[in-house]
Amino acid sequence: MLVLKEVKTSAGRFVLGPISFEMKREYLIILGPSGAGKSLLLEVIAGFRKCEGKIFLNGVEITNYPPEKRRIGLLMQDPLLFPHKNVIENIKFGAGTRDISSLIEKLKISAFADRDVNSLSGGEKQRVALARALASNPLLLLLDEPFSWLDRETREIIEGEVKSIANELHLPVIHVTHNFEEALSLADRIIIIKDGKVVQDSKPEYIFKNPANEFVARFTGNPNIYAGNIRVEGERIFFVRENLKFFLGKTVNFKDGPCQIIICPQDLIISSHPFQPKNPEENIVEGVVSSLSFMGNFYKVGIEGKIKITAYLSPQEVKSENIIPSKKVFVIIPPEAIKVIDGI
Amino acid sequence: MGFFLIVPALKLIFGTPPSRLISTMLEEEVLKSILLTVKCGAGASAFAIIFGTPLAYLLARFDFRGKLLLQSLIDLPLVIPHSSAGIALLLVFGRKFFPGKIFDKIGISFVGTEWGIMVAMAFVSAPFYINVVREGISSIDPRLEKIGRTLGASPFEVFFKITLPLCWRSILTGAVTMWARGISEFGAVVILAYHPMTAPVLVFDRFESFGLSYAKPAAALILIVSLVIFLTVRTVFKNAGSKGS
Repeated sequence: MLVLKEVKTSAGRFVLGPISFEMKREYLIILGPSGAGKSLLLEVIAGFRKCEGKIFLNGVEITNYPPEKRRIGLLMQDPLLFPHKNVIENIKFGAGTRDISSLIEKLKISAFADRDVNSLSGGEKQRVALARALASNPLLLLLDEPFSWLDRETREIIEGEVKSIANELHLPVIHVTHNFEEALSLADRIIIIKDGKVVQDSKPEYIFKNPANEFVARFTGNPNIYAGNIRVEGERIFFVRENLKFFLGKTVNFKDGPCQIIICPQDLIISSHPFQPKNPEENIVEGVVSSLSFMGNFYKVGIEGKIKITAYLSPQEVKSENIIPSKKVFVIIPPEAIKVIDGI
Repeated sequence: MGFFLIVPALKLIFGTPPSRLISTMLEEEVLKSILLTVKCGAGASAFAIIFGTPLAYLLARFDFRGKLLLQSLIDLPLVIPHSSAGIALLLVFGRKFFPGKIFDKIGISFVGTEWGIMVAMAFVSAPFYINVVREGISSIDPRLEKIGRTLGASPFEVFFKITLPLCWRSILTGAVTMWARGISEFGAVVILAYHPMTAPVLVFDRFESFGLSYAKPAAALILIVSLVIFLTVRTVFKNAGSKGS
């Protein structure tokens, strides 16, 4: 188990932290934009940078341990194989007397084990780098965007293998990335950092549906962010903005005042048939389809009306409602699809 | 430019009858002086490999206050007149200043000895070695060393298992370049150790005492020996490189 207590460091004027978190045997993704301090955090954990605060690994304080004493494996963006050693020599580098044959088998390296590392493909190089890191029997594996430069298919295969091997070996993994889709597909837990500070720390699904603030909402790809005001009318709570009024719920504890909301694009219902609200608790927006993009397993539908809103629809929904560009549609926004976030 | 560089050497070699070259080569004084020059040049290079490599590593890998000043001081022997360098060395390694005194106590004297020749050669030619090795180390991705550390290797092990195997070519190039520069040194050597005579000092001595015709065969012979050694080392180096080591 890794524990960070009030860890803080700096690089020039940039300050990382203080950051505190605990991780168990899980696949933790550190997510953030370029320059957020993700790689710096990994450098601190790996022991390449001095820090304030304390770091514990499996109950032992390692804050002042040099990297070679920490037993923390690291994979960087480039495979960084030792060019003067062949595949097997690279893997054996940190293995000592440990048997690496099962690892070579598991990572499908046997076929090119004797080859010069300079003759390997990108995917093969990262497999070797992974095997080399695992061969040193680490207690924690750090991945600093190691697969970002691979083609999508190879990347997904290797990432799947990393996750399954980590599970098999009960090895905790911290994986740094700026790609939210990658984070969603891999993470047991996500920590989002911005400007050296933790912004949100939770399960992927929770972060996606309940972003802590506008930054997280935008970073996680939510296109529907609106500024307005909370208005309490009796027991009903509304979000109001110019000529818009959305019912948010009854039990929510809000007071009148400015706020920001996000609307989850996958929770919207689009109807091509006229739809009139029957009571103030139904949120319906009329608009015209301004864009329609197929994203692989869903459609991204842009609608412009009183507000500009984006909905994610399944191919079946698009077909059944016959959604086409320039068509007039009605967007039904369930109150539970609206989240009030901090801001303003 | 090629004409400018090659013609004086060719004129020196082919302007001397082969019989004179052979008879000069058989002279004990000439032979001893050539061997002494080669040996002291090699000693100076060995000294630089042992002590200059860590310095080159420091300059390549770390940023620290005064780095620019240190770099300038290392390059200083390239710009100062070598006779001045010789006088500076004489002041430091003579018997009146503490380094000279300390070495004198353990039986090492630098005035008029092979040690003095080596020190003079090392002083004027070490910048060539340090700069080549520094460049060589800088060209190695420092992240390779970081990965080595995460795999359990100490900084010392990382240097010998990763950095050194990747920069040996720079070390060899630097050592050969330094050796070549060292054996041709006259100004600093002549002030610290006129005797025993290195080849450049011998040529000067013969020119001063007996004139051009007496100095010319010795000069040609030194040039040929240097060229042969230089070509041999470069060929061995090239072959080793082409084998991918």
